[in-house]
Amino acid sequence: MLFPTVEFGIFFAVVFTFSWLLKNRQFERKVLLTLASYFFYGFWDWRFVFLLLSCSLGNYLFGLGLGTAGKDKYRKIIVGFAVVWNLGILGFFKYYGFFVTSLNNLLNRIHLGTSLPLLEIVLPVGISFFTFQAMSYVIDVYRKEISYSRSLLDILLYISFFPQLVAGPIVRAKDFIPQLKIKPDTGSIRAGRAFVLIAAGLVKKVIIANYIATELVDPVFEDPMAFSGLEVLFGVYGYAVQIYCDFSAYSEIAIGIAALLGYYFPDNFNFPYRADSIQDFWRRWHISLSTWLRDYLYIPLGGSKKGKWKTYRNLSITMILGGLWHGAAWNFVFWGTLHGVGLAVERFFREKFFANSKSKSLILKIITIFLVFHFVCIGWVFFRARSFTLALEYFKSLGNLTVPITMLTPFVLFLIVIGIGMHFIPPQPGQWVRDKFSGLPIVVQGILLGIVLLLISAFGPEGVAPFIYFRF
Amino acid sequence: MDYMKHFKHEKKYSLKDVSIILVIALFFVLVFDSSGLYGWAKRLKVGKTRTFFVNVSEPLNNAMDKIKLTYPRKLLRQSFHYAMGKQREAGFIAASGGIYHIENDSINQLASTDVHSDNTSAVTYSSSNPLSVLLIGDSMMGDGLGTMLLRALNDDGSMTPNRHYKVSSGLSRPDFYNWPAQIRQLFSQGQYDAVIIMMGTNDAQNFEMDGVIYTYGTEEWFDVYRDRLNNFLDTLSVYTYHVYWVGMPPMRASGYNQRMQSLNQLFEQACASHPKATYVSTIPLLGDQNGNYSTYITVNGRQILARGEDGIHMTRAGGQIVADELMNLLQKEFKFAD
Repeated sequence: MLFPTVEFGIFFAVVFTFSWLLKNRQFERKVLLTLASYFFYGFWDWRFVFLLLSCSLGNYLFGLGLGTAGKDKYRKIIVGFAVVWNLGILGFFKYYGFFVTSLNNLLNRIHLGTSLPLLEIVLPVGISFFTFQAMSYVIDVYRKEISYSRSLLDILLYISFFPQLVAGPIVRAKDFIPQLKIKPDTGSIRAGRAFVLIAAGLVKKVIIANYIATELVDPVFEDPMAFSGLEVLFGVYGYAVQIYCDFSAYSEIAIGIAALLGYYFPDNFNFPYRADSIQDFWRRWHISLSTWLRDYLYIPLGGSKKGKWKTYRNLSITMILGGLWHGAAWNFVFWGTLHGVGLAVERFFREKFFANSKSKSLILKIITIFLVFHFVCIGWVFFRARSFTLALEYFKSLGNLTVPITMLTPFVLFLIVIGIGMHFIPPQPGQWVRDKFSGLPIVVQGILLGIVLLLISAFGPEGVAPFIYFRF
Repeated sequence: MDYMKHFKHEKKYSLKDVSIILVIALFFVLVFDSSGLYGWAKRLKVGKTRTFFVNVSEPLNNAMDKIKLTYPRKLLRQSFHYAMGKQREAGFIAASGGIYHIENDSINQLASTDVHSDNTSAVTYSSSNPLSVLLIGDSMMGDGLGTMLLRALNDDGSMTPNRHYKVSSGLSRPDFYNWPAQIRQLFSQGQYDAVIIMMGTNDAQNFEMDGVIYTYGTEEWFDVYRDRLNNFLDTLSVYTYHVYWVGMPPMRASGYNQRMQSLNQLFEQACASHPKATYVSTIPLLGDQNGNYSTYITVNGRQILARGEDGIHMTRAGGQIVADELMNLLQKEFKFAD
């Protein structure tokens, strides 16, 4: 059940109505939202409902154990088990095939004919998101940043809450569980921002991301050798826009939907292509993942506190594992490595040559934004191509000078320009739109929302492709 | 409260106001987007849910159409597609040499002179007189197989391919995409000496014909589907020298695999009754030793990823194996200058 579909519209209408009808019965409301979330998840593949349930039950018990265990020694053991449990689930479903084939091919190369058995494992949708979300709960309880939850229902709802279940944002327990303790306030729903986020997300996904994908990116990445170098180049720019519009749309719709139900999530994107350094990019792109990696991986590794070389090492390890989080393939490992090394090199140069400079001149800022964007685009080629070899083929295809242009139309160019251009609009217009929208009479707000939905339906293709991040 | 950072300065709405906004937006959509809703209902899989939503949305759409409230959406959609250089989105598919635009209205205005009435081609093909090959199908022809086949045919030098595929299409739902009509249209635009087909992944579903619902798995369903298949091959046999029907590979989900193997039997039987058609089984190429599904297959002692994440589609490596087999068959069937 994808967000921009009639099916989801019907589902949400039912959940919205009944959840608010139960506004004075907090327990029943949470039961309803949990059941709705499991229904939403089961819509993809009902078998994985049991996986989601096991993951939640396991983490509830780990939290309970951490909360009641007195000695640090026991707490360490419990948190260790919790990490192994969550990574075990993730590793088995997501990485088994990748590691076994890599190992088998390596053994074959060194003439050790042993072959480890391959299992036909289906990747459950959203597994990377809900296991990371669950881990943040137990680790935060272990660190005593939050207290453990006695309510199984709260944990079940926290891990399965449908707006962010399958593609994030990765909401921290400390941000969400306290909201479950408060009775929803029917007089303070931040609906203006929610409606604007949902409308913007639908436009980005249904119009921009969908058309760029079908009209340029998919065919060019499928067989770059068949297209002109210019199309191959714009294929990367197109993908940069597509993945931003696709993923940020999901986050925005998720945030908006949760807000309409009375729950609030932090933002997940902040104009990422406006970044003037790789570090800045990761502060703006998929913020909930980058802060997760920072708090639960980079800092425990030592962060930047153990000398510069260890800082570079920690940055690289964090980003390599961040790459692997996205997918079980060498191209994702390389993508992560590229960003990790990029961050390390950037840090080295910043400390060596720009340690005393406080701000960049406008020209330098423009140049660095341009360079960072192209660095990110190079990374996207490895991210989008189905394998490392295909990524290299893609770069080679940039030299196709004799192939005629067949896919690059003014419409696609327009969408790419819009997708990149929207990053350079100052944040105030967004606030202005929300303020103006919220200031209109309620009836006009309803009509405006209806007009946006009509335009999306009229301009959008028939049927919507799944969000890119579903497969992670 | 960090999670409220971006919300705390926003205007607070009462539940009543939020509900009013949503009801008005819903009403607006029901009135002005009734044709979109009706289209969505018709695209649902045939069954009780579809019947329910069609029964609800059809009278609504008819009523709105009568008072011309469906016009704004139609006008917007037509203008948008016109601006994109499209008049009918269903007919636009990326092909090797560009984009095909299919005009359904001219389907019956075909030139009968282009028909290949001979059973075999006496022509010797070469780089100056290449064998023209049409690749058609559903998404299976759009990804790994189609890409590698296009590449192999282009690289050969004495063959020239054109690919035409439509995601989610097949022979079950001509209301979504009418392949027999499209094939006539394609042959009205050009001649093809050989046709390679791979479709069927979307076909094991119920369909409706003349108001009767045919449930997948029933004898009646198989009779109608068999007729459609034979008619499709009859049509193709008129226009081309040879047709290669690529069978479904083993699928990961066992129920789905059973359905696809049932379709394979129909494809094989239909090809056997058409002298110009050859059924190409992909089970020996992509299955394991027992012909069962395998994500990875071993080639020259190396395990390669042959199938996509969905357990249905092929990767390029998987597509390459099937493409090699098809290239061998083409080389055997047609004569080529050395």
